[in-house]
Amino acid sequence: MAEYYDKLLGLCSFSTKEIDSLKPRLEKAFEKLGLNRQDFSRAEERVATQHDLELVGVRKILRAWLLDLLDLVLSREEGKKVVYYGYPSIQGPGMTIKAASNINLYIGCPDVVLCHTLGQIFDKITPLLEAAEKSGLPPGHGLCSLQQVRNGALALGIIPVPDLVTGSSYFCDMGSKADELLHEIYGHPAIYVDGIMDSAWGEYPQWLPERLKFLGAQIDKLYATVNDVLGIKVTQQSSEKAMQISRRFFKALGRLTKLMMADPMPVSGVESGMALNLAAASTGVSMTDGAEAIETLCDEVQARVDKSQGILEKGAPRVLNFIQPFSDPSITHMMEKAGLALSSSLVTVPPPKRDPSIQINTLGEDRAEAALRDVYHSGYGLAKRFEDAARLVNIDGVLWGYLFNCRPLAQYSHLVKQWVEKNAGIPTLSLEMDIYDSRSYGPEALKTRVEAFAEMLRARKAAM
Amino acid sequence: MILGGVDVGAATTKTVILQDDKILGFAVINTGSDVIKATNKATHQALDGAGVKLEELDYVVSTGYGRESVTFRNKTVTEIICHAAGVSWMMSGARTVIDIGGQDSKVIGIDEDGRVNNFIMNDKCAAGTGRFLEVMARVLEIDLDEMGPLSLQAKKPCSVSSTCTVFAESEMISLRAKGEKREDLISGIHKAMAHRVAIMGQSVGFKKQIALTGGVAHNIGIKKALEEEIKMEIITPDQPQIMGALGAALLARTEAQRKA
Amino acid sequence: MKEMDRLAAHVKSRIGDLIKLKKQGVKVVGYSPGGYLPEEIILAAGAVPVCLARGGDHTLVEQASAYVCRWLDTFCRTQIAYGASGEDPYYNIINLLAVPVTDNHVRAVSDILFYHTNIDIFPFGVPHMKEKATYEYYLHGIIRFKEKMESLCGSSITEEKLKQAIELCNRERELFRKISLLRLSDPSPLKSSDFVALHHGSLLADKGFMVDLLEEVYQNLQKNAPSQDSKTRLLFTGSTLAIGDSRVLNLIEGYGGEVVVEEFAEGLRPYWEQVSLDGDPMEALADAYFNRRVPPAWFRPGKERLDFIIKLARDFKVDAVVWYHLMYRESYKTESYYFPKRLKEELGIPMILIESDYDASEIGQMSTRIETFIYTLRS
Repeated sequence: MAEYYDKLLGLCSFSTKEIDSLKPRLEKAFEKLGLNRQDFSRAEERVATQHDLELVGVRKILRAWLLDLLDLVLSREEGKKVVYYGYPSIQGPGMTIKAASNINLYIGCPDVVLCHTLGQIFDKITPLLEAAEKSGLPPGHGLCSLQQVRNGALALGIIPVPDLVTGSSYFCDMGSKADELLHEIYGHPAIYVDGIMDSAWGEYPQWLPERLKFLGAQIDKLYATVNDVLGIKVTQQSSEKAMQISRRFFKALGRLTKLMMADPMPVSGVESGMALNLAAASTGVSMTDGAEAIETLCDEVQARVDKSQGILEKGAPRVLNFIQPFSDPSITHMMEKAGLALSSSLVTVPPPKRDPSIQINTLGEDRAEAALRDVYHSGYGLAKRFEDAARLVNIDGVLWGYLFNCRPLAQYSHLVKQWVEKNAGIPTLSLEMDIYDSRSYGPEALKTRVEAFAEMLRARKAAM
Repeated sequence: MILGGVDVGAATTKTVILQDDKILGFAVINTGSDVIKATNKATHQALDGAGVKLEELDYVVSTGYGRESVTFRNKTVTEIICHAAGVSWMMSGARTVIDIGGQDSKVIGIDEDGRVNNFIMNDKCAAGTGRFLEVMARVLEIDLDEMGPLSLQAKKPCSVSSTCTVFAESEMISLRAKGEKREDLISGIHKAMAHRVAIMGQSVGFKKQIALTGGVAHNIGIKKALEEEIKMEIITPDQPQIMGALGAALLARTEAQRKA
Repeated sequence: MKEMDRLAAHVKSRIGDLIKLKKQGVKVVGYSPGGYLPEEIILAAGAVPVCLARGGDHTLVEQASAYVCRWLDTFCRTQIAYGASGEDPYYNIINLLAVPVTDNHVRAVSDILFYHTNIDIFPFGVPHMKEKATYEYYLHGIIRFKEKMESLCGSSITEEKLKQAIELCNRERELFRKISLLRLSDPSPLKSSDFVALHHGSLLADKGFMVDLLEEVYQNLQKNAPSQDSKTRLLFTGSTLAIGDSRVLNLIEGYGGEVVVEEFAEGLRPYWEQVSLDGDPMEALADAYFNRRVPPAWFRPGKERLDFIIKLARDFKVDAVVWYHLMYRESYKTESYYFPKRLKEELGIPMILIESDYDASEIGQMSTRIETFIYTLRS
């Protein structure tokens, strides 16, 4: 018997057999999410127009997202312990905790899952944002919309109240305070992994030894608390197991990242963006089924590259951006329609390698050291990473799409542009955006600046 | 070759008809609520003035916020690029363009080749745009055209502290009620607006020669206020309001030549 | 009070004093407010501390938009504008700017000023929880600051010098505490605007002068009985009460309200804790400034501060709380949402939330709301 969700799931590469076997879970989840027949009709059209469905890999990635959504929404019913972590910071430790777990555990970032499913697929993220606005995160204050997605989802009862939430505070203040707010409302314990944003300008990629010790101790504290609250013991083996699980995923992602740099650009940044974020979503099916999906996509994209096929003309200006929007693919499409090849995102550019002389004494320090090499711990690090990445062969421009409501990024709205133009000599567009909530920063609002930037880059290329 | 450039702004729509290096005709009309109608009207008016028919146009480039509404266009190009092209053609020494339109304002940096090398745009707030002046003109019960000349008579310019158009309106009303002179109020408004635009433009940088375009460029008071803020000379090209449409027509010429 | 006039005159001529001191080879060290910079270290080095806490003027906030987008705390944008303008006498006169980085907004001040100016900037981090590791990190930071000061002043900071400075600063804090506690009585003998003016003055004044002045103020307050009628008693709390930002307090006092105690992260000097003179002075400083001090809202969770506000409200018998924070300071925004419920449950008193971007146009709304609030408290 045909169900109202069959067609959409079919587009997302679910086989009829699989849909049949998942039926009870699907229906329970869709009911919880408040998704009805019309939502599915609309989503069918949306997915068909926003995604490159001739690529099986794309459809498989959509499937991985939906499977993770099921796991998230039904985690409590299905007898799992539930832990939420903050994005982007706690992703790494989250994977280690999952690998260490011998209990039935859902550990992930519900906000990221909801953005890519309720947002990207169903275009139904606004009710969550509005619910959050009514419960402590009002509009007009530049508050984090990713956090609004989470708080709104809890307010609407879409996701379960977790057993533990671990707040990202080594990157921002908002993550922790919003988790504190949730604790006040729902009562679940929160672990604050602290960090101090005191890296001096010019210091990166060096840092004070006590910073590593401090951040390491914070992550070790997280592991210890997870042991106390849930009986999950994190060891060296867990860390190795986590790396094993993620290795396949990151290998596939690395391959895709390289393929994106082909000229003409073979596939839209929408697809590579949603592939990348599977690692942020949770440590479960998004990474396992996700890895396989990305591998399929890579093979198909490779075939395009071999035939010089792409979604843009050859020679289109190649742009390094920060990260693709999560909930609204039409923004990325607008940029590509303007003629920009979003060939590289800073978040996919590998950070500098670990200095072998650095002393790592604990599991926490191991994680901390990797985190300190990334873009989030210092403003200078962010600017410098952009500068270094922009020097990559053939990047014509940098699109510094800063999230207006993310304080650690928005405070460098002007500085990154000034730094990159001065030090790498590459034109940079500083574009104020919201990658989770496109209500005020939709494609129409951003269009003129993006098109003007594209025109500028084209003229520059033509003159060279 | 005969080229057409159409600049569809939120407040006004402008069309320029260009033949080789000569402007054959142009028109400026209010956009109103029917954008497509406005584009047709402005274009036909310009064509009439030029003695040319629509079919004779070899290439049409449209620009401005309503650029996609020009049904007879061959290509769209953003107003940033078009303003730069228009100004460069009129003033070969131009290196910075300040464009204050009906609902947005821009500062554009240009090379000696007339190419845009940097730009910044504000469209999230009315306070630095023509809309701000419109609202204030209404409060003070004068025509927009009178604002410039009147402001030059100011002896004691008022300080307008509100950064929001809505609040500035109430501030104006209460200052007026206190008996402040109109020219002093207008001068204060001009200062406030110029200040906002000058700060925004700092990220692009002001290099001479600086051109002022857009409808607001007709206002001599704004020009003076900007000069005082930036402490540099500002030049208003002839017919500043049509710079976008002119630039569009020039880009139409480039495209047509390329295709030929 | 004539002491207030004397203080005002002293502060007015302070830049002149600092110029003279610099000519004599004395170093002037500016620092960002927040109460995490032990002035003792600066004094022990023979330098002069100057807390850069001015704000309230929207012109500066507008100027900051040349350096950063609007989505940053208003006070921090003000500092960026002051420093980057190259025209501010205080930012120009300092030899060093010490920035205890408490939250992301303060980090922006440090990084953006570093990029745009030649000011020598020394950031060090303030963690957001009270644990052994965080205390040690903070201690590390102030030790590095001490080394920086020694290098700047070309002399060593001995334990002896530190202890002398601690004694002096303890005395200042003690006097502030005693003066503050006089306000337990009803009516209070001292207007909040005067108490705040003493704080603001102390952020710029010569330390010896300030301590003597506070002694006199305290003596006089004890002698003279208050001449005012009993008023509506208020607790005034929030993120930043900058030097020059007197609108809210003026409105409160104008409408017949009386603030009897304040609790602000920035702009007022923390005065409830004394630094111990036993043991290692640097550890004593870290202990008092970090461990024992009631933290501001960037601490996670914010419970300790909110518990303290409840205690203050109870001890000072306030009728209501006025919570005043600046735009985009998310730590304060979030707490302001759930705290009123707690106030109601535990003390049965209301709270009014006032937010500002230092914009003059806010005055109309602010007046109406404060007037109405105080009026309803009275009835």
